[in-house]
Amino acid sequence: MRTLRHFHMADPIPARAGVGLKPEHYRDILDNRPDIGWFEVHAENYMEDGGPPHRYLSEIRERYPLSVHGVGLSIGGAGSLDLEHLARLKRVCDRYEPGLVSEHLAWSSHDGCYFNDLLPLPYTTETLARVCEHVDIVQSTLKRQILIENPSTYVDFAGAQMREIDFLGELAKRTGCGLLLDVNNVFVQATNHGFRAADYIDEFPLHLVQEIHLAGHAHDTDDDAAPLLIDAHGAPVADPVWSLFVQAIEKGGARPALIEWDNDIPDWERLHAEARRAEDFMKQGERSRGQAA
Amino acid sequence: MDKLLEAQGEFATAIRDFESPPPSSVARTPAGALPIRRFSVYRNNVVMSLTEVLEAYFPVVRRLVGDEYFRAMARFFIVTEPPATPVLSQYGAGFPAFIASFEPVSDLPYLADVALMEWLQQRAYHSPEGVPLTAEHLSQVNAEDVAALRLVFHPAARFLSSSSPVFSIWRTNTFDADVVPVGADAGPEAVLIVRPEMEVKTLLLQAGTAMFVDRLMQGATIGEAYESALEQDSAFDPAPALAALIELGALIEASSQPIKEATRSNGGSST
Repeated sequence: MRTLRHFHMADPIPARAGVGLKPEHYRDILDNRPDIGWFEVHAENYMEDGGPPHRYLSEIRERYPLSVHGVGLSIGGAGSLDLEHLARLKRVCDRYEPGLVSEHLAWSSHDGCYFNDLLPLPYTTETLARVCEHVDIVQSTLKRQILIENPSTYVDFAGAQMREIDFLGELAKRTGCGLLLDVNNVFVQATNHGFRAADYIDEFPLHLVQEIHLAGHAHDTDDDAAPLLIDAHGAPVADPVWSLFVQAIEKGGARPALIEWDNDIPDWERLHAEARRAEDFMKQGERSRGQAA
Repeated sequence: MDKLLEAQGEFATAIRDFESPPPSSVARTPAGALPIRRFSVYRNNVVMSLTEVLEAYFPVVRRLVGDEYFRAMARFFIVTEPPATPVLSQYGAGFPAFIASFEPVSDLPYLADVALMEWLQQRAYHSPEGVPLTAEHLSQVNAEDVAALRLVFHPAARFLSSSSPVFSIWRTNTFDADVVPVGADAGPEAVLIVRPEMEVKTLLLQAGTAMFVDRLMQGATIGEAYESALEQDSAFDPAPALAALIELGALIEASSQPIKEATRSNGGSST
């Protein structure tokens, strides 16, 4: 296992709750300086040369720790990594010096066409080799460790050779990357693919987890009229997802935890309240961890 | 090693072709059926999320054709011209040209130029920053030398000259709760779009000023631009036009040297 030096540890992300930064809230945040642990941005929203988004983010960055979450690098793409896009990601990281940088276990581009969705991967040795190769390139280009997030998916693959959890563990072992545990995605996956979410958390290599995501999901049904959950980021965190969050903290300890609310975005007060809720649950998890120890 | 590449190619094609079955790599349901509903989540995610991107960039076009029509038109555009980059603020550059060639909206001849104007506003929003030229700076130039000056526009500045009343259409659809119909006799309009600070500003230009700005943006001297403007409007006065450009923060430099192509801020100009 290779180890990577951290080059930007000036502003680490605290083990508190943060929220995904939305343009709708720029002014509220700068005017009122809310007590919140940190913010996360989608890297792709800050890749233009200028404009208000950069002005706002620069001001917010001066006051809060920042995490950069890429959504478009297509790390699971079978073709070569888009080095131009990686260079853009590097510029964002150089400019804002984030405490954490993360991406997804997914693909989103093919043959020069970008799909703007996190598309699923068959968990095979071939896929693992390809993803490892891409994570290596990203980490050596950014000169830092990145975190890879567990996905929400809606289909299974006929040729799958391993479980998602084993795939992620092996990926981290081979590349030295860290993991981002999206607890809502765990719940969505468990429902969509028929396993127990609590078992997944129980087995997850929590010592590799440096960040947790929390979000709301939407309800649909599949071809057999069975429940199919959609990772929609447009609602409060669901109760069973909070339970899984507490379970993860109880077992692995407190971590930076992010509220992702990207659609039907609430006003700042409502979003901030959801973040405070996450901190309450984090404390609850830590208390039971203390009692267990 | 290319099994994954092949499978992703098939997956990608199936996302764009709404009539096709789910890709063969995807597992069937326990009963052995094709997982059509499951796979369609991806189709919907792609089309819906990109439609929302276009809705955000082209609100006036959307209001002009209505929500439902806009969504149908957007879907057509998305499957024929999907994004080439994950930087979605750059997605939509081809939408005005798509509209211009989209037969079902050919009865709305102004629609493509309204789309182009909205796109230029969006580009102005994300443009590099520049330090606007001040009136004081220009006042240091000797009066007799002013005509020989060339002006560098702010990187955000965009110019659009349309054969349709794009500004009037945009203004009423942006600011009026009840749209005031733009008269059939309304003529061509030209606009200047600027973003010196946080806000994008769009200004209607009179014919003489439009010619003056267009020529200046192309690298003409103030004197040359003035002559062209006079041909449009014999009463054109360059002094208030220059003062307005400075006041707007549309300029960043005045130079007696020819302006290099790379530093020239070129806006769109419709046909």
